Amino acid sequence: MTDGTRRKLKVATTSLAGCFGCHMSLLDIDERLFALLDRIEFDRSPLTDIKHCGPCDIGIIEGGICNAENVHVLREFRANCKILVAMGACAVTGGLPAQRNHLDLGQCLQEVYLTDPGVTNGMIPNDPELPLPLDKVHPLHEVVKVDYFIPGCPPSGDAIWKFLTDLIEGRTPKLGHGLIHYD
Amino acid sequence: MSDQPPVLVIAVGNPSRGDDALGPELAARLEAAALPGVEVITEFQLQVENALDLVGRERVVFVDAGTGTPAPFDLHRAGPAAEFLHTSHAISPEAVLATYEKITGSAAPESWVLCVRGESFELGDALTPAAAGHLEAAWLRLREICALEPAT
Amino acid sequence: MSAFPLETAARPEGLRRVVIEPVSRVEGHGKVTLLMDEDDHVQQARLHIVEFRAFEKFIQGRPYWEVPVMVQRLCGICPVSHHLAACKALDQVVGATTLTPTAEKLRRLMHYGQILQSHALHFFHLSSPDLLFGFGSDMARRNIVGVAAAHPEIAKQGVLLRKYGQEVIRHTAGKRIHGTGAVPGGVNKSLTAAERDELKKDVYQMVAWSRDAVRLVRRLFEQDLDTYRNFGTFEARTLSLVRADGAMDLYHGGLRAQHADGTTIFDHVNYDHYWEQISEEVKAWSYMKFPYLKALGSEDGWYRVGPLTRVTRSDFIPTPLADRERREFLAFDDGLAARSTLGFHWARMIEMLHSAEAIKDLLHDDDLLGSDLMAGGERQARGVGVIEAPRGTLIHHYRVDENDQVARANLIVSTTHNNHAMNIAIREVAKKYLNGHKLTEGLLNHIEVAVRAFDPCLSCATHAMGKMPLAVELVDAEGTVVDSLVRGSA
Repeated sequence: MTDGTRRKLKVATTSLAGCFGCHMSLLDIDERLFALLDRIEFDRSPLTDIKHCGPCDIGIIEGGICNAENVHVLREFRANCKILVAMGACAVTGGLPAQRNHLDLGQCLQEVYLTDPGVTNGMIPNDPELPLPLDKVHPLHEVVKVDYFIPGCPPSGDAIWKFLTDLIEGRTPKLGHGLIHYD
Repeated sequence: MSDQPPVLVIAVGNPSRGDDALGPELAARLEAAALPGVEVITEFQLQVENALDLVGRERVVFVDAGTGTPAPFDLHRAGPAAEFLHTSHAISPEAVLATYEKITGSAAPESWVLCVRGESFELGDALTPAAAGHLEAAWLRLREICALEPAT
Repeated sequence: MSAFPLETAARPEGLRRVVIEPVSRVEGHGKVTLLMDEDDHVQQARLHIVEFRAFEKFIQGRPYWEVPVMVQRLCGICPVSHHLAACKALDQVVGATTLTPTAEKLRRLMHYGQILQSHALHFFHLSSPDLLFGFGSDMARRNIVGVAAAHPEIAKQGVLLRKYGQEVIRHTAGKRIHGTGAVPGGVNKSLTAAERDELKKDVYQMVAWSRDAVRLVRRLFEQDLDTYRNFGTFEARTLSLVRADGAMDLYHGGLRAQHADGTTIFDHVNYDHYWEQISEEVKAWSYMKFPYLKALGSEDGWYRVGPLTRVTRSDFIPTPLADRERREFLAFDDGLAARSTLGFHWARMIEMLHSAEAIKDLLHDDDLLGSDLMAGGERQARGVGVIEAPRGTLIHHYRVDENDQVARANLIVSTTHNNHAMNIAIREVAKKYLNGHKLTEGLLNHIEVAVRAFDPCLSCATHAMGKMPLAVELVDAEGTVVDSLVRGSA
């Protein structure tokens, strides 16, 4: 798998409106991480201090879109990554956070920050530093074109490993029985 | 041309729940028999992704335990039916076939349901004697249907 | 005018805004903003939690048995915390006042497994680059990849410690992430002898490596004592659970709150009515609320939770190697290490060692293989479950109606308790390291190092939504309802 003359593929990752479970599942490749690092290097990622995604070969995103900032980051990834991957239920369908879509956002904000009996000084946070929440939670493909979808909540470390090694070796990624699942 | 074994047996059941182990028991026997051209999958429940397991098959046999169903077993041809309930927690063989047709755009392979009658499904119990008897009858029929001549 | 220095600049106009976004090598989404004057002095520093989700709200109406499976999706690093806290709360609802021995031990095993993996992840994968290379070191290698290149043995141990914790979780919960092993009233799976034996094989190695990690942090303190003693350090009140005998117990206990000097605010308080002790304040600039101890008020009632509190404010740790490390930590540098913000890392590794020892002890207990898994009793309408998650005290509170549906959910998650404390830590670092200097990437990383010490779980912190529908009934003298109003039901 290692070849000193090939350049390392640049991989960027991020969690948008996700729980980080898919990133943790990526780390569930355990010691295979060291073999992976022979072939790839990380660009922007929760694991590095690079704050903005530069030109990359592969972008992997977990989490759906729940606020304006998520949209900006997603577009930055799409613009910079040759291949964009939606990883996990939230990125693929919106996932559990999308359960809020049938609720009225304004009413929810009021209930949490104004009328909650445990809160002593009700006010709805409105500082300009806070990204505006979107009316609905969206999966990634409703905003940009997505090249690959890996379902699962989260997809297993083995599934992510298979997917990445296929991609790195230049094969069309294929997940067989036991690796592709939606739960 | 597919590189998959032409016959797929999907056995469904929870081995810890009494006669629900009928499916997994039959699957274990089939795996041990190592019949050529036959692949065996065992699941606790059927899910949408099992539709992908049907790709490239000539015959599919779903094996499950039934309650109140004919003894010792019932064997019938199954066709796609998009009967999705309020939960996708577990779906029927017919719904798996409907999913297959929807995502591949082609007709589902020849499919059978072998439903073996169970009597009791309590957590932690072993197979009841009646179910053990049904198992033997079903085993003979399952072997027959795995042979890839036109099934009757 | 805020009671907290550097929270709000007196004259923000004309100040220069600097932003660190996102805070990296933490879980979740946060950003830090600084307002600088023309002398490069910080006039305002804030940690903003920028995301806002709706778990408590959309859980309403679901059958209560779904809750442990749903709420753990608040967080992919500590799903087990929410899984177990929800089950503890719902244990009360189903009347399981005491679990079976097998069930409690399996839940504890699951919990120690997650403490082990979460703390390993935080130290090795997220924090060690700053500690091993320096807070202002070259950004290109200040990450797990750099650690793997420069310190391969340390990186390998970190990966394998995390892996072991994940395997403990997989065997007890069914999946490494978002499993289903705990249910209201107990657990639905015991260990097989084969699973137990497989876990037993490596546990002694995990204990040894955990102790090595504690020693590693101690060496880091020794090598740079002045920095480590003072970095982001401040006096704080504390909150944690403790066992009835005062021991550190991460699964269950009573509430202990102390002043910075260790004197008692309250102790061994039953957490069932936590709202009598804790209130929350909202600020315009963060979606995360600011809890405080009611008795002391919102200005003086903030407090710190998590490993540094638990290790230093419990009376002892009930596993021997960790307890010895704890005593050495408390004595180090005349007790100053135990009051320092970077002391979090030392305390965290002591907890990782404790978890490894506790796992070892449980693996020698045949109750893990037992078949008596469930308990039940008289149904209640409400349940509260509190647990010490990797990051601190976690509170789950549910009300369930007669149709088995969730009528109300309230969560106060670990990182939320530390909201004030994290803000104070970054202000201390800003004053000491940034004032009067041109800001470089390395200097800005110092701010993040302060945040990272707390191991914040910012996804957990942004759960908050939705409260109980408020119902008001007007009754006449005979108690007949004359009129009623319900506000806020979905």
